[in-house]
Amino acid sequence: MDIYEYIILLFFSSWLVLTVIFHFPLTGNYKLRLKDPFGIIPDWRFFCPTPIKNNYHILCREFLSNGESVAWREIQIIPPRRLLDALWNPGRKTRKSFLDITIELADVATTNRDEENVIVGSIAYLTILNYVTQANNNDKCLFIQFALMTSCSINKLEKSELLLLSKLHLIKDEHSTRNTESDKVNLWYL
Amino acid sequence: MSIQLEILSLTRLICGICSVVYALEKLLYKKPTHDLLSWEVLQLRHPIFVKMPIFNKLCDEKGIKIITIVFLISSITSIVTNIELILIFCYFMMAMCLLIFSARSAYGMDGSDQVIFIIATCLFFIYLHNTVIIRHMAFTFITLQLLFSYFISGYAKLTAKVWRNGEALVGIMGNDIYGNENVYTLLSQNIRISQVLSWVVFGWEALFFICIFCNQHVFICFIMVGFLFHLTNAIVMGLNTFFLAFVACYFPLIHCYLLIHNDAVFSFQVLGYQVFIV
Repeated sequence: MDIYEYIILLFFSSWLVLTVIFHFPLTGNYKLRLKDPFGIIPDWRFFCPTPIKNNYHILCREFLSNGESVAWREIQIIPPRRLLDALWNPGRKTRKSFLDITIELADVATTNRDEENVIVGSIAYLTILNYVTQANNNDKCLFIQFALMTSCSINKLEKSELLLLSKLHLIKDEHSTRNTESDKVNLWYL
Repeated sequence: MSIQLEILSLTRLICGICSVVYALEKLLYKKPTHDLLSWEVLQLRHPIFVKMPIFNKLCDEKGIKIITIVFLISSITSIVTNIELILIFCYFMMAMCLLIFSARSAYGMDGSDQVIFIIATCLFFIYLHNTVIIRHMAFTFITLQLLFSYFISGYAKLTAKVWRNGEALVGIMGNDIYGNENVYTLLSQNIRISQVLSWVVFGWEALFFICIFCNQHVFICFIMVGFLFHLTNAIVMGLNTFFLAFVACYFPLIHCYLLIHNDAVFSFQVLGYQVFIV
């Protein structure tokens, strides 16, 4: 074996050892994950140890400049499933992203019930807020609010549950014309 | 052509097809209004990247489209060319593109991304220094990752009560993202079937690693069940690239099997035809 082969052997061995270390305990070694922003260490725990038990829904409502509010409506973020998905599934990434975001948001919301700033500052919260804000095309809308709801996917007859109700977010200054998209980002924190 | 080179060609072909599908799906997806994953928000997770103007450029909407096109071109080229220098460049670009996708957003990444990344990296090292030893190392590494992935997935399911009692499978089938209404109806009305299926799935996953030490017939059975398992996942759950990515790993597994069993003649029947791999 030459020096190059020894280097490759060391590289593969380290990668394998890190993969094993990440999976013990089975809940995931998140200290290691934080040091891996490129996701080089694979996560092989498909649908476990906590499998999907819920469907997640994002609802949104608008508060208009005349003081009225528009009724809650569900925001359709993910494309519906089709039989063709077995061969051609362009919506797969968006569906998986939506699932990851909502699971993370549900987790943040339940573990930080009394810490509003942690919830509002989480990436998952901001991602959803950004989406509902940009999806809004009502010129009269002044504030926007969204909610995260879950419905049980094991027993679909069970009632839906409210997991998170967002703050009211100003998306348009009453005295100015409609904001540009970059302005919206800055207004989140108001 | 030696078995090692045949295995290499087949792994390259399936990995290439999987990557082409992956890139085309990413490029041709028609967003309902706009992208769910906005870089303006996602960059907050990694403040260090924000300070790097090049990375910022690569990760915005236009940048990520260009990277996906580079990934697509590299994937297609990796299938059609045999020139080693070009292959080195293609697999390097594929691995780099996957790293950028993953760094940009951890949301939406799944097992198929990880498997493609592992295979692309291994193929890069193989062509960078194309010797028998490097090929052995790379194939062994892919095989060990494959065996470990099945083992950990099966073992983790075994430790979860919801998997053991069959509820987890009902929950997944009832999910809007991975589910299937017909299968959900069947399983929710017959929880016993769900329980049996769950035990079959995680039992097979957890025990998959033993196949490498078994005789040829048992080994082929494990591989066939794996093929059917991933095919079923593709049809029922829409995990199409997952199917291709894992099937691509089966060729290095066959290589390691032959290595352990002293290059034994490997034969099996397909539709009445006897197939030999020597």
